[in-house]
Amino acid sequence: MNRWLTMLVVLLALAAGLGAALTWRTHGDRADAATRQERYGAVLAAADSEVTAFVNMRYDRAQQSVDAVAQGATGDFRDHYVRSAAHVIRILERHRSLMSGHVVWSGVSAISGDRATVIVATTGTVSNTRTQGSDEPRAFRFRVALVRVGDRWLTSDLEFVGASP
Amino acid sequence: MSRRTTVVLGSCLLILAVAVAAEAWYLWGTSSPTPTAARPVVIGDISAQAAVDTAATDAAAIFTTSWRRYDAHVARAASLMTGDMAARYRTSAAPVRGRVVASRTSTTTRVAASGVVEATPDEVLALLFLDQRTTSGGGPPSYQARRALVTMVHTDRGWLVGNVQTR
Repeated sequence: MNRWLTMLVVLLALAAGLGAALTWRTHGDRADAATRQERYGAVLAAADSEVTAFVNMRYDRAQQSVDAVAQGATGDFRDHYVRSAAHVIRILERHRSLMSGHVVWSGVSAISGDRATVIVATTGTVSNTRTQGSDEPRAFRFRVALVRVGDRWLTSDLEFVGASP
Repeated sequence: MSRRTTVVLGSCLLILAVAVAAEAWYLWGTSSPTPTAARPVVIGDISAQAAVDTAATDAAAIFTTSWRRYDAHVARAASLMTGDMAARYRTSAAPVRGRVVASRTSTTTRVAASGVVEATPDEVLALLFLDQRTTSGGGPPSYQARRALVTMVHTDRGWLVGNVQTR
């Protein structure tokens, strides 16, 4: 009886040892996958936030509108944007521009450890002196480049994707 | 002595059996995670990219039409779709046929950019920026910048288009 029990214990001990090794490796793989997969959520949230700031500009809160974009930006893009902020504010105020919009869809085009490219589709309205104050619909397509700075993803470039012939 | 050994061995057996069962549950018993806003992609980068690439190729084929080969186009496009989507597509394509042929309309579609919105092993949502060039009746071409959310469904025939929303 004890001989059979001993054999069973040895067999189960071997199975448990093998299982422990597999579990350890699988746990590591799943943790790595979770980290990679959470990066998608983080870059999409950062791109959505930046684009939302970009498509919501008001002449009566021009400085806050410009600051919201600058807060999510970095590098040359941020420097260039901040340098041209006074010009942007003048244009907003001169044309009494009100632009509002929201992100419809966004998707990750490319992603690595500290860089990502996201495309974003928005919809919204714009009104200014040219539209004589009436809201006109605007749908935009953006390509956003992001870099990881510390624990934040910041926009290093933002461009409109127009229709090409 | 023998009874005590039996009790010890029995206890070890029980503990080991519980350990093996717990390991088996962790390895094979847990389901794959569901996508959330914080974790929208729950498959590997390569699998997600393969589905998005297929979505881009298929969408370009579906939205590139010619009045000269309209019926062949509908048949070809439907072959890229799931059964439900193909049925809906044929239903919506039929009433358009007369207008396309009468106006001699042709549309060429190019994918300007693509990205993964959400992905599971069974379903991938792909965002596509589509550039379309349309000519009608020999007139000058018009250009449109469109956005499409394409749902790709994994089937035994590979990734198929399960739904398309354009805005």
